[in-house]
Amino acid sequence: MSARYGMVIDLDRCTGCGSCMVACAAENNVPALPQATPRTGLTPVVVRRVSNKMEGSARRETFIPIMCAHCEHDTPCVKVCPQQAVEVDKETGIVMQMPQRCLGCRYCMTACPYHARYFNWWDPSWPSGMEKSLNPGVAVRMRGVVEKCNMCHARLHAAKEKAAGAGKREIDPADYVPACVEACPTGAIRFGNLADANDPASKEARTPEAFRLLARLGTEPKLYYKSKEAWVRALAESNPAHSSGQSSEVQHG
Amino acid sequence: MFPGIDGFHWAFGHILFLSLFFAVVVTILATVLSALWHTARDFRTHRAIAFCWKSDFSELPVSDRRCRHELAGRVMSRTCDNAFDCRHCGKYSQFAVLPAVGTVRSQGLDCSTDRYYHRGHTWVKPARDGTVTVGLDELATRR
Amino acid sequence: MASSVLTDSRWIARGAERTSLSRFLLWLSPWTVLLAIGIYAAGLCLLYGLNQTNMDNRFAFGLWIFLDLGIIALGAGAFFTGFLVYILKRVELKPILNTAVVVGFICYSGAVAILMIDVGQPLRAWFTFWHPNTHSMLTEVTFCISCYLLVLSLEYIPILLRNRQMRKLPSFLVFERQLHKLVPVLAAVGTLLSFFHQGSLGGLYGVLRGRPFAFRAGILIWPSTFFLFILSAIASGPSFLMLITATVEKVSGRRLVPPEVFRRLGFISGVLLAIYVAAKSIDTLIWLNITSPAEGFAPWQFYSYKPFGTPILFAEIVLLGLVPAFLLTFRKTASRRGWLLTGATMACAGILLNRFVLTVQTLALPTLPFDDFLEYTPSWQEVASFGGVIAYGVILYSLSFRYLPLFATSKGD
Repeated sequence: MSARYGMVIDLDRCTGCGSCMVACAAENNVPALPQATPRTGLTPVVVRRVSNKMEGSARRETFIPIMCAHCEHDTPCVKVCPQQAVEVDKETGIVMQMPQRCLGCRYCMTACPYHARYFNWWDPSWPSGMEKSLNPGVAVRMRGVVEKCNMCHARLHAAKEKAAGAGKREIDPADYVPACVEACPTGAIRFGNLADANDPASKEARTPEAFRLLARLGTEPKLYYKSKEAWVRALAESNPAHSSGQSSEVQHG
Repeated sequence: MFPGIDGFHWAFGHILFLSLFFAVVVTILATVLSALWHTARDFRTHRAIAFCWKSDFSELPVSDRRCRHELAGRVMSRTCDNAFDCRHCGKYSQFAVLPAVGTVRSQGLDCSTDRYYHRGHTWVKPARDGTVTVGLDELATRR
Repeated sequence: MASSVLTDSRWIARGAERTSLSRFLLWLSPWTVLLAIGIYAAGLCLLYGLNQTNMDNRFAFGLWIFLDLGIIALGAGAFFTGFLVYILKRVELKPILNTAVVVGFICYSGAVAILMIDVGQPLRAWFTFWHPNTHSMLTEVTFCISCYLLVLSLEYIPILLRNRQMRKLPSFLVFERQLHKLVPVLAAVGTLLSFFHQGSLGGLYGVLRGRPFAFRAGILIWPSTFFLFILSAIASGPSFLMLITATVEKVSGRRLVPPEVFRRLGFISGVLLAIYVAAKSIDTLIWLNITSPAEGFAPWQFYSYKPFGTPILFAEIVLLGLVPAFLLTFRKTASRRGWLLTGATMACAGILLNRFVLTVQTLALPTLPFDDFLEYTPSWQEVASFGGVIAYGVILYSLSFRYLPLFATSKGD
């Protein structure tokens, strides 16, 4: 039975603390690159700060974590990769990036509507001593390849091994929780199998407050956002308005 | 690319793409191999020699493209209908009987090869009937 | 005549006049310096990584990709001239054929060299051949450009073998003759390959749903940019050849091809440019009124970021499209060399502008509602690397012009 793992992020609960970014970096052995800029840094999850572009008392702001949306239909990055270094895993619906096969042509990065793909502009390096804190379950990527969120696939492997060890066929959903979901202090990120009608995340994705960014492109992303605020929904469905920068990124680590 | 690789399955796109690609590669290889084979064959059948000769002859400056009989001194100058290719010359026997008079340059003077020279700047030319002709060479005839 | 002891006259074709070796080396020296700087810059990128460039996660494609697309479009003169001479039997263009092959070889080998530096892991380039993705335009580009570079090399070899010293070796002489007989086959293969890769380079951007500025509807899997790129490439190729030949005539100080060749190239370029302008106008109208609104994007918004506003669209279609098409075809202007070359320059500039808009402006424009218009300036390493490619082209062409019979019209030469 194939799953469709997705996420629902409650924007009303997101405080912009950035714990998800830190947890992701720790789990996935993202290199600490002090020379990186906001546009060259490696952030498989990145929290964007957005506003309704008004001033004074009418101003409203919120935070939107952006990560790979694991598109299901006509997945743009899968379609354009010349080496088939990325594919949609049929069992889980996760869009899997294979850094060992990646040529570093960066075509997928131009194709991704969410700009959720990041290139290793430098060789991976950590301050001395920090390499002891690396996660042994996740391979470090080399310079010159593209990477992105892969829904902490190593944790899925661990959950499968645990289930196999206990003689079970199906994993225990509580065992497979991506790092960002686990780290979020307000529980804003909900993760689950969207194919399972009883899954809480699946139920939330079907509420009227749930929406997806750039849904009109027809790529069927599995990353949902949820907000009761009307302006947030309006912003999400609007076109980029041409004005000076009103958004910025919260970068940690 | 190959059925052995994990997850591969044939689709129409694969067949179209790979057949086009291999058709192109085969055409290019066939072109190169054909050229090489024809080259080898030209050498075996000695057609290469004819071609090389033609090429070398056309490399010569125009003033050097002269009939061999002209070079041997049998005639003053002539044009050739056969592009100076003596291997297929129909008139060769006509020219071969003419006496070949070469010119040799010795001590700054042109000397014909059909006579004998004396250092006193005179020459003797024997004729077929036993008579001889005596004359002065280039230097002596200058005023 | 060379007065110095060092001379290379035995390498120069008999009867051909060339400057002295010392003057030639003087001509080559600044280009050699530029090439050396380019190799150094490329070496830095290969050694330290692509952080040496100013590309980033939002501008994943930068100066190199723009110039690659441009150089391949301009190098289309090689295959198109071959197609015209060997397939359509337009023998009046024969004098320019050798130059076309050399220019094409330079353009494609330069582009491939830059691509090898542009990718993060150049040693993995063979993965595309082993795991091809038949849905991806980039796979098609890779295959076709590799094969076409092979074809161009095979077309260049006969020209190399016509060097005076090379001809002295009988095996080279005979092989050159046999290969020359088969050049029409190579020209046909080259035309097929070029059709596909020029188109696929356009298709690269036309299929991107995530970039509504570039996304176009089309026929089957091929977006309209596929066909527009082919048209613009064959329109600019002859113009570029004209410019190169005119420059070489100026530098060498003699007439190398009959003036009729220039007029003919200009006419072909102009007509194709006019067709391209018409096709592009229709395509733009369709995009403005149907494709972009269907995706939920207001297309005029894309032009609201100064200075990349509608003047660029106007420049692309009218100023550097319609105007040069007119200059190259209208008899009064086409008969004057000055106007012809102006038209050719404008045509090439228009095609380069089109490539720029599609590669750089596409990436600058925001798609997510809270994104901004982004800026990017290439680093010196990027500029220097490409400067090295231009230097390589000039050096290779100069060597070819000096030692090979590029413009000889008589058969024996």
